[in-house]
Parts: sequence; C-alpha cells; structure tokens
Amino acid sequence: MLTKSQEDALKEFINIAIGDAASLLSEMVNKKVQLSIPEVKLIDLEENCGLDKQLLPQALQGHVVSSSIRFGTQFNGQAQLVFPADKSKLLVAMCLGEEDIDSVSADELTDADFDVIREIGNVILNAVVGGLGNLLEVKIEYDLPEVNLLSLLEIEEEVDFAEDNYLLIIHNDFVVEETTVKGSVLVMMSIYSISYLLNQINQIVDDIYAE
Amino acid sequence: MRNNFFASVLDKVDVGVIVLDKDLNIVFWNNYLVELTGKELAEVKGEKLAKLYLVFGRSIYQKFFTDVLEKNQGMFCSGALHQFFIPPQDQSYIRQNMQLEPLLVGEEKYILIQLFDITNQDKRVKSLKKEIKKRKEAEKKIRYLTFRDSLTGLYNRTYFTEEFHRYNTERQLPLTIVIGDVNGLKLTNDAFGHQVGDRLLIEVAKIMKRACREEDLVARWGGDEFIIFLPQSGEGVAKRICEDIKAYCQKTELEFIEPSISLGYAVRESMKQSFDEVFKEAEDRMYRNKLSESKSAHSNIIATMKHTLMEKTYETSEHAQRLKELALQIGRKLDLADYQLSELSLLAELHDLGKIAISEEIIQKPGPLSDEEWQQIKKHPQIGFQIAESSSELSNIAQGILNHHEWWDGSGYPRGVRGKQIPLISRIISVVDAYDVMTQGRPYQSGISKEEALKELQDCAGTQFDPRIVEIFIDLFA
Repeated sequence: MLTKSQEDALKEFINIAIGDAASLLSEMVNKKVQLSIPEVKLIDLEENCGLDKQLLPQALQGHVVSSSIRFGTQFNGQAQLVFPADKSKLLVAMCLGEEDIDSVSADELTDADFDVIREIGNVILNAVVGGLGNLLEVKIEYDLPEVNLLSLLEIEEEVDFAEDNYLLIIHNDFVVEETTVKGSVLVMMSIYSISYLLNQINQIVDDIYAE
Repeated sequence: MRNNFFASVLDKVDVGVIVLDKDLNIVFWNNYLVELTGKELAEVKGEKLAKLYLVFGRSIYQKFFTDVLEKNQGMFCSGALHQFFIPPQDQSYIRQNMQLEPLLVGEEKYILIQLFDITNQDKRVKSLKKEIKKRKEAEKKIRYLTFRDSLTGLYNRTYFTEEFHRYNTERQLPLTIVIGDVNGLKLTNDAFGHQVGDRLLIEVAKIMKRACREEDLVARWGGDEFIIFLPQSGEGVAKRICEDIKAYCQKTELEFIEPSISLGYAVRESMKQSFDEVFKEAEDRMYRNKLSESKSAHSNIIATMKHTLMEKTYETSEHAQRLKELALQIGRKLDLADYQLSELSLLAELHDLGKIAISEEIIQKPGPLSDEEWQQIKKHPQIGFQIAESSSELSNIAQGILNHHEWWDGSGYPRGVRGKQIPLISRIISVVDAYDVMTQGRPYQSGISKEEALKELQDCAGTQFDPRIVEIFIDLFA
C-alpha cells in the first residue's frame, strides 16, 4: 500500500533508527554489528485477509524464535523480531564471540541463549518502535520483551486475531563479521496511527525531493 | 509508615532492587544489595551509581538510562553478554541479568533497576528439534481438526475461507472455480438412512479428489456442496476434470445408487473480475445443470428404491403389475383424469415405499408381530410420505402414500382420518391391495378364493373400505 518512494523514505528512516541499535549492539558484543534493511512493506491486513507468508523472507518459513514487545498510548500495537529457529543459536554464538561458529549445534538453546535473544530483540525493537514514535511525535510506553519459540502458523494467528489493522514488515539482515542472519521485524499497528504515519512519510518524501 | 512497609517488602525479595532519580543518583536499594555489596542504604543514598560502579559510566548504559527517562523505553540486559553489573563484596564469580524500567511516582520520574542472580541458573537446555517436533505434531492435529471436514476428510469451509487469499493473486490466474452439488442427498438420506447418505458424500469426495490434480484445492462447502479451485488453469482443464468426475461417478455403485453430482465452473481470467462474480457464475451454471441432471439422478434413485422395496418386502413385480391393472380399471370407471391415473399407477408401485426404512427382520417375519414390531410397521406410511416429499417426481403421491392404511370409518393409521378426507387414490389402492394379498397369499400363507375375497371386501365396505369403490370393484370383477 506504499508507493515506491514512500517505501524508500520509510526504509531510509528505519535504517537510521536501526543504525543506533547496531552501534549499541556493537558496543555490547565488542564487535562490529551491522543491521541492514533490505526491504520494508506496509500491509493493510483487512484488504489482504491476513498475513501472506510470501511477504516474509524465505528464511522465516518454518519455526522462529520471536522476541516481542507490546507498546501503547497514542501509538499502540505489538512489535516482534523474528529469526529462523535454526539460525537463532548461530546468532547468539556470533554475539557471544564463540570461536568455532561453524560447529555450533542449531538444536539446543539454553536459558542464557534465550536471554541474549531477548536483549537483542529489546535493542532492535526499541529502536524501531522508538523511531516510529519519533516520526509520529507521540509518547509511547513499552513492555520488556518476551521470547518465544513459535511456528509461523502461530504468528499468522496472532496477526489474524490482533485488533490492529496494519502490519509493517521490516526485513532485517543481522551481520556480525562475515556471518549474516536474516530476520524480520513485524510491527502491528492500529488504524489510528496509520494516516498520521503516511502523512509523516510523505513529509520525508517531499523533503527528499526538495533537496 | 507506608514507605517503611513497602521498603520492608522490597528488603525481603530475592532480587536486587535499585531506584535512581533523574540525575542517576541512588534513591533506594534493598537489602539484597546490602548483603551483596556490604554497603548500607544510608551509605549509598544520594550517590551517583556510576561513581560507585564505574561500569555504569559506559556509554551504552548511559544511553539506556537516557532512553528510560526520555523515551520510557525499558531494557533487558543479559548476563550472557554483560557478565555482571554489581559485583559481590568477596569478588567471587557471579552472573546477573539486569532489567531497567521507567518508574513514575507523582510527577517525578525514576529508573527502576532489578538485578537477578543467574550464576546458578540451571543449565536448562531446550532441545529445539524435540520441541519443534512436538509442536508440529500438535499443530498438525489441531489444523486437521479445524480445517478438515470430519466426514469426508476434505478441507472444510473454514479452511477455504482462511486460505482463500492465497488464490486471490495474479500469479494464480487463470483460476477456475468449480462448484459441485450432490444430487438426491436428501432423498437418499430419507430413503436409505443417513449412513447411506454419508457414504454417498464420502464416495463423491473420493471421486473429486481422484479427478483433481495435486495442486487443486477441493473442499466441502456445506451439506451437499463442494468447491474446487483449479489454480493456473482455464476452461480446458476444468472441462476435463468435470468430465472425469462424471465418468468416475458412472463407474461407482453404492447400494445400487450411482453417485451423481451437478457441476458448474467459471474462469477468472483477470484480477478485474471480482471473486464473487466468478463464484456466482460457477454457481449459476451448476444450478442450470442441476435442473436437468437431478431429475435423472432422482429417477435413478427411485428405480433403486423400487428394487430395494421389492427385495425387502418379497413383493414381486407381478404383484405390482396386478395392482396397477386393477387400480387403473377402477380409476377409469371413476372417470379419473390422465394425471390421476398416472398417480394411481405410481402409487400402486410405491405405496409401501416407507418399508425400505424398516428392518428386514420385522418385514419378513413369518409369524405374528409383537406390539413393538407392529408399532414399527405402522410407521411406514409416514416414512414413505417423507421420502416422496423430498423428490419432485414423487411428491404428488406423497399424500396417497401417507393415507393408504387409513380406514373409511377413521380407525386406520397413522392419523385416523376418515371418509373423503382420505385421498381417492389411497382408497382405491387400499381395496385392490387387500384383494390381491387375500387371493395371492404370502410366502408363508396360502391365498383364499376370489369369491371369499370379494365377500371379505363386501363385509368391510363402510368400515375399512370406501363402499362405493368396493361396489365398483365387485361390479368389475365378480
């Protein structure tokens, strides 16, 4: 539902917000962490009769580890960072600086691993939701993230049953040193926020073309 | 008092609790921290946390604090990445998780810090593979129950509505929708019972599945309605699949019934055609086909019913034939119109239609019936009536069937109506049937002579039989 230039503007904006998260994470893990946003999509869930799996990156077509926060007040909804379950251990190992990343077993996650995922999710989601809050010029309240192992079906159900009408899908590549893990940030928003958000995006588009 | 109360509660909890004011000075820390660091609250109160513990001076924590105060953003910091935040006084190895959250008291904003000791956290390992396998199985089961029709195993309407959006894309064009409606389901249910009706639906589902391709979606839409989506397929494929379904139906026989399904399809060539429009077109075509096809399906079922009826009641086609002839002669004598004569002829064949739903043991029992068995037998006019009502070919004799055991004096069954309230064709069949049974006998009982039978009819005229019809009968055959 976004035009190409609106999509580009939003992508640019989220890239900046997420850049902060990347430098925070770099400092936390003592390594260069790059977060990039190859794609951003805004979907009208009613029009599309729910979440179409094809809109998610290929890597997310099975089980995922999700770190999610609810946020509220004038701008409310839920945001979640999802990574393919079989890549989440690799992500943790990358952050903890484990030597032999190739030999990491994707199968077992400890509580400490879940904590790391929770923290990464916290940093990224705060950046994204905070960024959107800035764009909308509203104050937001946040919960701390919850981490879960979910199937894509459960995510679809969450999206379907949520009262929010719009879904922002942010494809998110997480790069530490040579290794990339592909994830997504899903932000469910209510109809209330959307027109204002579009308005603000248009503002950015105008600014770009004015330059 | 209130402050003391809450402070005492916080002193008891097994979590480190620190409250900072907006200048990052310590306002409160609980007993957990006193024990951990050896520092009393009085010693640290008013001090900057970053001055006591230099680690908090790092830019990331300063940013977290700012985010809490300015943006309301909480933060979770894991021991795995940060090790610890506030070390124990004996400098022993420790790992802590930390949680930062905004805390608003009146107008004042504070930072609530909670520290959790995870040094001895169980190394609880979740086996993802096992967990995922378990979940997949559970999901599969739930998905199956939610999205499958329990009778036919096909997808149900819920699934269809859920998955519809997948087919609502340009990529799937041309998309053909086929609507199918099973012919004679109600008739089958009424005549042969729901078990046979269910088997008919299962058979039809199997046929549809067999005729369709792997990528097609076949679902049971409602009672006797089915729907098929043929993605990326136009008229050619649809035609072939419909023909295959028909051909498979002809080859299948179920309790002597040949499954019959009316089909209609429409092709969505472009996204400009609305889905509803295409659906409606397919449905309209199906209904048009049904108009002609259901008639032949019904006659098919009726033929089967006649066959089953004869087998069950030991009635022979000769008996039916004799009844027909006798009844028609009376009918002609009464100057009945042609349509009445054909009703009479049909009723002669099918007046005992309801008996196909009554157990064979009762119908074929050679000796006298028990009360209960007799009650069962007495239901057959009503059952026959229902069956006839659900078929347009038989509905005109439904009343005739219902009333063929009524007596002229009102002492018959099922309703005890009397005289001319009983349809004429029923009154005629009642006489000729009694006569034929008396003269021809039953497998277990030999017949009586024509004279004896006529005498019996005469004796019962005015009680069991319409006296005028008995009179005509005797005139004709004496």
